[in-house]
Amino acid sequence: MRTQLALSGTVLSAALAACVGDIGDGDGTFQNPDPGGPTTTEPTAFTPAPSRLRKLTRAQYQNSLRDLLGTAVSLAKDALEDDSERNGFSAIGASYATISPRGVEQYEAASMALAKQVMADTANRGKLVGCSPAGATDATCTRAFVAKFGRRAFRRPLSTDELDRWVGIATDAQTKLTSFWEGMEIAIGGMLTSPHFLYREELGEPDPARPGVLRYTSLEMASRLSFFLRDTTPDDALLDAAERGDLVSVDGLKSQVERLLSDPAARSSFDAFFAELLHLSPLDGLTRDKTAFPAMTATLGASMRSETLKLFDEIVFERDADVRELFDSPTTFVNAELAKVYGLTPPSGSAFAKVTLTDRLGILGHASFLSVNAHVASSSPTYRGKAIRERFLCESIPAPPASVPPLPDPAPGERATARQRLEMHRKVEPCATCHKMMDPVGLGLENYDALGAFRDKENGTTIDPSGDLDGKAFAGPKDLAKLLRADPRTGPCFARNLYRHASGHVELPGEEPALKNVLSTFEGSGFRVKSLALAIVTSDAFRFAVAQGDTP
Amino acid sequence: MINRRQLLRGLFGGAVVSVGLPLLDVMSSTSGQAHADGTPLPKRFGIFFWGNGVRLAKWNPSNTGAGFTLSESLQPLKNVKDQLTVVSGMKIKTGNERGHHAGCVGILSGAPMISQDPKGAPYASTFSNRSIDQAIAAELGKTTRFKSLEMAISRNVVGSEGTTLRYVSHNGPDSPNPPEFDPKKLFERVFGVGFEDPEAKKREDLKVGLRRSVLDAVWGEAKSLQSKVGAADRVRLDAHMTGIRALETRLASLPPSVGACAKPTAPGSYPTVDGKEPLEERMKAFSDLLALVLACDITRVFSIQFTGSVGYTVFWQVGASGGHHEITHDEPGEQPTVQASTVFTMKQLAYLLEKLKATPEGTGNLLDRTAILCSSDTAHGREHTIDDYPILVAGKAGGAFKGDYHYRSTSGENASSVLLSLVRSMGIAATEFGKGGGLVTKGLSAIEAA
Repeated sequence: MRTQLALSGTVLSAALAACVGDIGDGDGTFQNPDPGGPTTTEPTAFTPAPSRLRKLTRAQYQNSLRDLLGTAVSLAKDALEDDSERNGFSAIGASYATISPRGVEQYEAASMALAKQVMADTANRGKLVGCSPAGATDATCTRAFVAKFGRRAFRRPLSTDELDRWVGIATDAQTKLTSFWEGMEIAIGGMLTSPHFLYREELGEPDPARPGVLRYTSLEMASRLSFFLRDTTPDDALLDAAERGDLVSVDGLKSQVERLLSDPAARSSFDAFFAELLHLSPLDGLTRDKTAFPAMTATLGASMRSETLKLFDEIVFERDADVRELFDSPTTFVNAELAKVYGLTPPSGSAFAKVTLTDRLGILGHASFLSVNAHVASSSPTYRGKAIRERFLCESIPAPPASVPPLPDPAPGERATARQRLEMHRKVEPCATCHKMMDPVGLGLENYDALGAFRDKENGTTIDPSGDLDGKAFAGPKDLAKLLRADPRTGPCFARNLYRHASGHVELPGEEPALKNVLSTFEGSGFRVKSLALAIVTSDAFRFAVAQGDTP
Repeated sequence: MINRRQLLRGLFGGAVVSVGLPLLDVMSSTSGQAHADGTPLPKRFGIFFWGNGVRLAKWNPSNTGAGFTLSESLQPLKNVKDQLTVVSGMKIKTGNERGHHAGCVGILSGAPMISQDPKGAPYASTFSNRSIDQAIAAELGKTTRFKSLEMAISRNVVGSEGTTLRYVSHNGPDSPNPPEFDPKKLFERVFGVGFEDPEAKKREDLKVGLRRSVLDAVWGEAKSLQSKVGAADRVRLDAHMTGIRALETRLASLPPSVGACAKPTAPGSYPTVDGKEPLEERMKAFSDLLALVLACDITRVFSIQFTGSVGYTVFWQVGASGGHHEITHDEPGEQPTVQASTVFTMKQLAYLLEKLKATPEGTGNLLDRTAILCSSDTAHGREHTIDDYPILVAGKAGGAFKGDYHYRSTSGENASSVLLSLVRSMGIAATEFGKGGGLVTKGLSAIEAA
């Protein structure tokens, strides 16, 4: 049983290989140097993944500034480069992304502007700096603050060189500007522009137990824990524990994980993970024609997102329950505008109310999932099927083929339903190999339109929502939801996704032995996410690394 | 004429705004190819990119050679036809590993895409080489305040399949140059934000010097970090350090020594309202701004992503209700809405080209010495093909291209040869361009002026 769980990703490998083999006309000579993922054979010996510099994501940058500067830091949406999502997660993109010339400008401008804002705040700046300057320059006070601030910003104590450098910059600026505070502004803005702040340097140290293997240092583990569990820079208590050396032991990690998970920041951090897993970001710019979709409003996308995250939060944090309830929960949370989509009596006011829906179950029936995986004007069984395969079953769908044969147009009145329209895609190669993976599953959700509202007819023709998921028949969307809840692949897939988000890479074959333990702990806990988080943090895969290598 | 000292002060501290007006005839030498002081007028390179290809039957002109007849799709470009070189029948030779991705990387860089498809996770891809704008900017951008500027019009861009579909301009793998979507933000970036209070401005100017010292320290920290990391991270830090030096230099650099200066008006932001993107207004604002930026020699290299690869822009202006990628596959018959979207896109390109043509420089205009590569992520959008690729070269790059010319390859020649011609048209003595199947050692002489 355990092996089967661990191997969830391999089920379709043969089909995929065939599909990929059909793609491409063969005159490309470039060999991909970094396939970046598991190969087909699973080793028995554990080999950790190479360490990589991880650029702070937008959320990590913003949250860190909030914690460092002790103020409500608000950045304009376009003040920084967007995160670069790769293989489903911005945390993975951040392990590969570079900072462009424009990005350097943006970081510098944002950091300097925020530093200025904070140092111009006469009511609060004294508390942040923590000492009263004797004049425009004050060597003792400056040094004390730079050391304290630097430790939080760089997530480790500053070296003597670094301390001297930033104290020097502060003092020079204080002298030239004849102002302690404006001079400090330059040093703060500068440290927040430093690569030591903008990248997480988790490089490891030789593991005393295993030659050739690197162990993340106690301080590096503080960063890994803090950014994984709270999506922000480590707090003083965590840095203190790290400096005591607590975080290289499983016991030391455990007590910190429990503490961090009880912090409200953990909830928003896990919410953000789940929103990314479900690819909810397009909801910010949800586009629907109001004539065709009367329930559409400017705030509906945000409400959809809230609904889904409320259910996730309830299951994971309120009840610490089996995360697979996400698939078959009969209850959800709606406000007035969502009630309109679902055909319910709206709750009073603007609040969300817990309701039971009869025409759907779980997140497959959420307007968020259904809208994100739809076209602007119509549903998309293909997108929906792709999302289920990729995000819930951890299966790769190959990219669209190079040459699509022209499919015959329907005669007027023909092909009223999506099932009929997509029929040729499941018959004609090179379309069929992949559409056969996606469409039969997605067609199970055809009772929900492009905004997630229930319907039983399309263009006057009754919708047939039946199908099968890899040999298991379902009669309609609620059946499909129950199949996913029971599917042995969904629990491990959730765990793999959380690990990818936490580690910043798609798991490598060498990590499988360690991940097997994580998966079995998760299963043993009844698929509870808090237990999974602890299992990930304390696993060898999360605590050890190998060197990156000297060839790019 | 503005006091040059004022101008210089203004550019320190990102403070005041002072912009060179287009060069007037009186300021140039009699040849019209050089400034009054004898330095040659610069050449410029740009990219205009749109997603999801074209309908080839309505795109390719029916006849070839000089004085060809514009096709239905190209009709909007009639006022700049003298500056237009149409290239058809060329093939992307880097392989068509996946629809849209391969064509996009092939036409923009002449090199194959890198697939990033770990088993069990969503696929992605990135560029293997830098894109052509950056290859050119490495030379043309050496002396300008900005090495290159990137812009984008539609926000309905695919962000979940790696950098390929999301970004046009790349420095290398996973190293894109993200564009500015908001004309007002680009204006502020290029021309700075004004300070009304002279005392506040003086302090900001003082801080600029300090910020430069800070950047120098930050560069040093990146350098020392480089010694601790592996090769892949060293490459990433290299790119970061290049950006740090560029900003440091920019904070110190003098404004370009051309022209008189005036204060331009900041453009609007043109946000999406009720799901309707004001594409035309955004494009006009960026085009007007770009004409000033080029005339002032603030940059010589730019790219405009009008719509993204596989983009889901809704062309409501022509009555579309579905996203662009979706309708290119699903609209039946002759696909009138898809076709109207292409014509609409060419109208927006025409605005830019006409604006550049209307901006005098020397004895000619800005478009004379510019070349803009105009293309897409696939040839025929409905079928994901990469042969018979739609390519326009707008502008003659100072007489390097024939203009008013349609070249049709009958043998599916390597599309990279157009890229090499473009690089060479900028005065760069390149002998090859591209990689793998896309590698060429000869330009496309048929479109080059004798």
